[in-house]
Amino acid sequence: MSVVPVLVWVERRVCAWMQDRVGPNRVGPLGLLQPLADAVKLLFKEDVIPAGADRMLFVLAPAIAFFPAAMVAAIIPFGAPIRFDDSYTLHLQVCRGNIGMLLFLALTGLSVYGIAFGGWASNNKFALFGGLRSSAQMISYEIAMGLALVSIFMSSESVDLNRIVGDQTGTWLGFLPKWNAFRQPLAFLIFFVAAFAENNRLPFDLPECDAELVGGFHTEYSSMKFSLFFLAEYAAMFGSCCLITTLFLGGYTLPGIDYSAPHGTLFSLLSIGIFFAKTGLLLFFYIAVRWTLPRFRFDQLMHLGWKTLIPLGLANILLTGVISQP
Amino acid sequence: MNLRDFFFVFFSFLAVFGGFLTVTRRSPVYSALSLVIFFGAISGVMMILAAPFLAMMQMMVYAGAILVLFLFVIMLLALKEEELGGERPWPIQLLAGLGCAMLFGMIAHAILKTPLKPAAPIGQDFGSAEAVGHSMFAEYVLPFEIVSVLILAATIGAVVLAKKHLPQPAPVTEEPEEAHH
Repeated sequence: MSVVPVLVWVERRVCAWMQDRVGPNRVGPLGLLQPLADAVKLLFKEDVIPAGADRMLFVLAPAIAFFPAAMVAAIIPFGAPIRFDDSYTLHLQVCRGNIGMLLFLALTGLSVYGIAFGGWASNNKFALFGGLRSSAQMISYEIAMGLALVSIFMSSESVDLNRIVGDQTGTWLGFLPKWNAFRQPLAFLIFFVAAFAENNRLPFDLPECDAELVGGFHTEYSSMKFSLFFLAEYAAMFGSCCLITTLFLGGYTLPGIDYSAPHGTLFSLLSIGIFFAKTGLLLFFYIAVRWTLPRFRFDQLMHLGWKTLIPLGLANILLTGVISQP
Repeated sequence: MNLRDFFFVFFSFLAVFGGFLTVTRRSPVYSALSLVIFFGAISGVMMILAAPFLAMMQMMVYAGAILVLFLFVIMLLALKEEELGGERPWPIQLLAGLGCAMLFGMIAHAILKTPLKPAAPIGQDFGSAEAVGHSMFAEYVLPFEIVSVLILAATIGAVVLAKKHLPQPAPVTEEPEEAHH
């Protein structure tokens, strides 16, 4: 969660850089404290609940939106396990075992509710449209995401994230890392696009769509409730990037290092650094895409989801099955 | 009472609470929200009963997909309070109450009559994704395939129903609202 303010700052700086502007640079060194100032401002703003709104759901919705986004972090293995004196091993992953990935899929399913309820409870037709679009979009892209995951599970022969990471160590031909991004390029592409859509990021930010829907589901929200939605979006973005790193970019590993051998604490800390470096690069890419591509039309969005990504995902599963036949 | 029992009781009560709210709320949106609570609680119970795979499937399929579609329809209909209709007449209320009581009695009777044995010990792997996958694709592969044919038939049926009004260009009728449902 503490990643979010930094991310907002990076987003604004990168945006400014891409648009040949300066961006926030007044508060703190390089404007680094700007998000903090913004947060304080948001906290002190007047909290408006529209007269026609459904009060209970209106208050509940931001919390419902934030919960699944924050929970995703529980399944990510952030680094190699730290061993203390051979007697105690600290695993840098909260939810170990083989249901982690399923938990992720369940959580993405739940993340629709916050937005849908928020849109409905506002009693505003723009907000309602935002909420409805979001439900349709998330349901469609969840399927493509799941199909991409299935082919990863098939080639890694496990649903355990730790084993999927372990499976990606080593290289081919001495230089190409054995990452799933290279072994399953199609799955990587599908998952990446679907993750963008699940997070409602441009070019898939139809639920917000400031040009036609004012602000979409959060039109009526102000003060800290708005910032919770905001936090949820960025936390979800961070979660997806962590997951993409884990699934496709080798997680906390680097090619050429033996991870099965016993190692010290420093080694583990370095592996965390590697993980966050990869995730950071992905986040930068996310932000760069936002300021590069225009928004889709809604029918284009549905076409891409149902008529391109899902058949591609199915074909990829078939292909994986044929190739990995023993 | 250890932590496990505590969570079992907690989730059970939460499930009953969610189910109760689902039938008593007048607004369909709140009913849907209560149903999400119910599904979440049930999947918590499954988690404690060593069925993590089933628990996650419950969340994914029911809470994550089916209910979102329900919600979609409910929100599009956007019923006003007066459109929900008033209270039902008392004979119907009485009848519904009696029916529920009878059903409850029957289930309670069946449960009380069954001798409770301590649960058979289960393996370390029980209920995991691997175990479920093995039993689904090895032991029960034929029922699994039959179910998939059933789902395919349902899918085709849905497409046919949705496409019914598409091919012929809309004829000019007195009531153009008839053309799309």
